[in-house]
Amino acid sequence: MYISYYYIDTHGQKSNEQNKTLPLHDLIKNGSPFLGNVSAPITIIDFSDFQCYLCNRFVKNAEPLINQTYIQTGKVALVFGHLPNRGLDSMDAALAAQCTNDQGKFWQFHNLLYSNQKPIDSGWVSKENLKNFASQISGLDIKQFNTCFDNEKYKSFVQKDIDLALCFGFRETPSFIVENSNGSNPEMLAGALPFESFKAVIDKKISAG
Amino acid sequence: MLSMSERKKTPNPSSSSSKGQSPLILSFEIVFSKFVYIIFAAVAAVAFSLISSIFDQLLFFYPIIIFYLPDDAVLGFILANIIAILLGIVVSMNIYVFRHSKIKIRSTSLLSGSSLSVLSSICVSCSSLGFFLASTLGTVGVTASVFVSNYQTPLRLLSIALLMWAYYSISNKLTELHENLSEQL
Repeated sequence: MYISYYYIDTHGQKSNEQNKTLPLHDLIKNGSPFLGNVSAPITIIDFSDFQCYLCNRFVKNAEPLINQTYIQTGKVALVFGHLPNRGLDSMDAALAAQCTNDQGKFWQFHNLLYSNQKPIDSGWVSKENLKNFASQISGLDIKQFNTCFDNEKYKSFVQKDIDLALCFGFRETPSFIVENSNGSNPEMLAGALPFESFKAVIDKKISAG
Repeated sequence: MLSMSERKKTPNPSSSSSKGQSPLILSFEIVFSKFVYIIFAAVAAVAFSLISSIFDQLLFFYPIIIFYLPDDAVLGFILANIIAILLGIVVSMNIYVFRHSKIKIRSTSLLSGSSLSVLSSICVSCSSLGFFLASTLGTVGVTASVFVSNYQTPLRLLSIALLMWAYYSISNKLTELHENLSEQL
């Protein structure tokens, strides 16, 4: 099964309907942060917001088990998609996170933000605090990060992620696509599902070959 | 009107055993001495508990049916279930009063309890509806969503307070109803 959807570009223009898939190698090539082996047969695309407490629930509960059971064993690759819709500061958090991906530090930054999550729009992901968080990551060139962040280098990239999520009908975070790595046979999941739910879908896909 | 069998079963508030008893306890005994009202309360409580578990993303039906309670959701789950139990009691008491409302009681007092219980349940569910508010109402929706997300626990505590108030209100009316009934008898 291939997903048919409208791609809406950053100017809000609806282009022609296309039969598009989201193969893992394309997502990686386009700059989406990912965890796992590039040759993993299954891909999970996680659309999340750093201010979303349910995303944090996923990060604390299901994600470590998925990582241990499927990512570390090379069966699954986890791709992060931005869907910053929970608060007015969410976009800045997404932009900062994508800037850390430039230097291969996305997941450290991701974990740092979720472990320090505070109430939405309470200022915890203000521009200043995001820079402070970035400065706590060892090996991150803070000057390069600040240039990227201040110039909103990844604004259109994040917007494309949002458009993509909307194309799939996702309105809430976290939302997931579990698919074969060539983009076929996608299954949409919504919500901070427990590990068992992911396991059911992944095992079914693995056994289906 | 109360049937003869109901009159026999209903505790008489002016009897020696009920004298001096708090209206809160007395009204509870009056209503829940009948099995059907226990059923009403249980159905309302279970229904509300299920709905709140779905909104709180503790209960999922797809891809498998599963309930799970992560650490961050324990407090909310406890509060939601306290609300469910209170809601069940208040709804059941309201049904009791509605069924016997021909005898007496002002309609405003009947409505106060039920409207409060509805209001409080809305308070709870709206805390999980932030996503929908945000996507449908834009910036105003985001602000509303942020408010209900950030103040989920205080909103639930407010709901409990409202339901306790509703319980107090309906208990007084129920006791009053039965005192008047005793006088009529």
